[in-house]
Amino acid sequence: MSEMDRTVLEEIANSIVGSDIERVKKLVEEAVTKGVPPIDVINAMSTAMAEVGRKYSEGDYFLTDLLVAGEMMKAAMAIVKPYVKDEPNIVSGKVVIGSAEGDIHDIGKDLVATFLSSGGFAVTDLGADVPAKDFVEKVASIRAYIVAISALLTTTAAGTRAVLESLERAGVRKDVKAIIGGAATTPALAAAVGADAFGKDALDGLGICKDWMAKRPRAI
Amino acid sequence: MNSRERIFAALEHREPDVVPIAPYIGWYSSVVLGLDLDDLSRMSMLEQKIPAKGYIPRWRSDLEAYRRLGMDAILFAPCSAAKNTTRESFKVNRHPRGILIHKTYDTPKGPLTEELVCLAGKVGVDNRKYMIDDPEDDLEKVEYVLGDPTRIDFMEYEQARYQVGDEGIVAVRCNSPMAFWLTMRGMQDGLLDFWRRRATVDKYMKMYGKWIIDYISACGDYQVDLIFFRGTYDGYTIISPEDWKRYIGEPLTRASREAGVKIQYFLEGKCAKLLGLVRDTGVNCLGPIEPPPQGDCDLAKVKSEIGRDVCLRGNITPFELELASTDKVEKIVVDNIRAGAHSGGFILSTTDQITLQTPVDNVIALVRAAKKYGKYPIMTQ
Repeated sequence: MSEMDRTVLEEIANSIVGSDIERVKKLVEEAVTKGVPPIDVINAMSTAMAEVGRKYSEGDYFLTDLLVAGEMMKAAMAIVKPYVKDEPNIVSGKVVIGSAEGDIHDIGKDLVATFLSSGGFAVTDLGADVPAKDFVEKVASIRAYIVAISALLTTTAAGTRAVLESLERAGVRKDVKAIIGGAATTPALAAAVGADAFGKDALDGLGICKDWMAKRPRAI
Repeated sequence: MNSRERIFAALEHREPDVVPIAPYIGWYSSVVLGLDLDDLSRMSMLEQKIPAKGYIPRWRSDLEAYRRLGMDAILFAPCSAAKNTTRESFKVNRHPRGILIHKTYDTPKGPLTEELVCLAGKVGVDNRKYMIDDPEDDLEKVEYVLGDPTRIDFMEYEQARYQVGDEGIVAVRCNSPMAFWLTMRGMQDGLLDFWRRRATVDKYMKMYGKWIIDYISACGDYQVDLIFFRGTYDGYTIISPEDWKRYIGEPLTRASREAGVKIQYFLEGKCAKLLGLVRDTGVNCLGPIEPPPQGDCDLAKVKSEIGRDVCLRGNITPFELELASTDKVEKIVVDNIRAGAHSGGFILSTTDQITLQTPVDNVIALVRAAKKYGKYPIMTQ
């Protein structure tokens, strides 16, 4: 990578952290048209998203900053995507994500999906108020390695249990790692419903999923 | 002491006979009373969205559940401001997922609409269209929809107050500016607007901040038991402390100093850094004081920091209550009482609604333990 490429990538990352969407779009456009490998651009954006997540976790940034970073990520990915076809190793794993049945909130779930996408995961977002059977069907059909279930309300957190029980009944629970998160969830609930992990925020969730992928047993 | 005296003693920092027990009952009353969840849901939605004839107010089911569980009732009564110049109309239709409600407000500045689905068999609503569509254009219309804060219909409050008698108190809900904005604009757009159109958000916050001062003052004039100031989105993962001071702290301080009415600030999420600021607003009560991971509060620390000035209402999490054995529930209650109840100024509560899956035996164990170990003077060891 040339010094000039490195500088552009740093500027992209700094612009994401600084919430400057127009500059991000301009720099990303410049980078990919000048031949900077898309994977390098995506990695730079991913690093910036992790920095935004870290600042949020430490109380320096707020939910709006996370949402803005997510918007920038989406806008930049739309520019990068047409150039991605020659990059075979861009996806690090398949994740099915959704809000538990009865829970119509999707803002936290959307943020996690954005962070996972920025971390190289292929994310299938089922949306909000998702019946357990829909999780099962999608996990089985795309052979996802991770299922992520969000619940914002204490009244709907039981839906996370329903998803995991349905996965068990369908015989696919053993093939998939399950993470729960959202304002209504706790580590104790995760343990009680049989999830493999609890994500305290989007960055934490991304870290857990990356860790799973790194430790995933390989067929070859 | 009766329940009413007990709750007021706690709110006024006097020692009651025993710690008041007032968790958020919410949808759990369907479990206690054997009500169909859809019926209860319809009651609540109709109460909030449509002035339908013949509905049963939610506070009635809450009161009955509090009675049967032997708790001290803190009920909510909806009290709306008069909308003299705005006509409200409703269309209600069946929807594959429940009941579709389309609501129109014809204001002198033009119409505002919202659309939501009350989900069948579930406890939430799905907002399909939020009221504020074009923030720049809708500001004046929203002022009309809020109505005249000096002219409030207290009929529902009065009925609840009469029915609850000495068994508890009745609270009037008032959204904090963040809850107002995000409820009317939607969470995603509402938060992104802090970045996209900050000056416009500022206008809404200031307009609503002035409105709540007048609204709470009118409630004070009527001598309502309690204002429940709903700060669902006021924690500092959502709003910065600087914005909290400007948009929430300022109007709340004025309202609590000028209105002469008791206020519980329901501040959800992370708020440990805001405790001093909350105390300085002059509110009487703070809850739910959420522990990690949702919040960042340790009840004993909160008690030592602001417990002399502010009554605390908390802080058993619904999942602790749902997942624990009855013996563990007793221990949780004892720990809570020891951490927060000494010297008065404490109401034992959950941090959110009791979950529908919580065994009734656990709730009964909570009440028994609170009555056994919550007698004043409280032993801290």
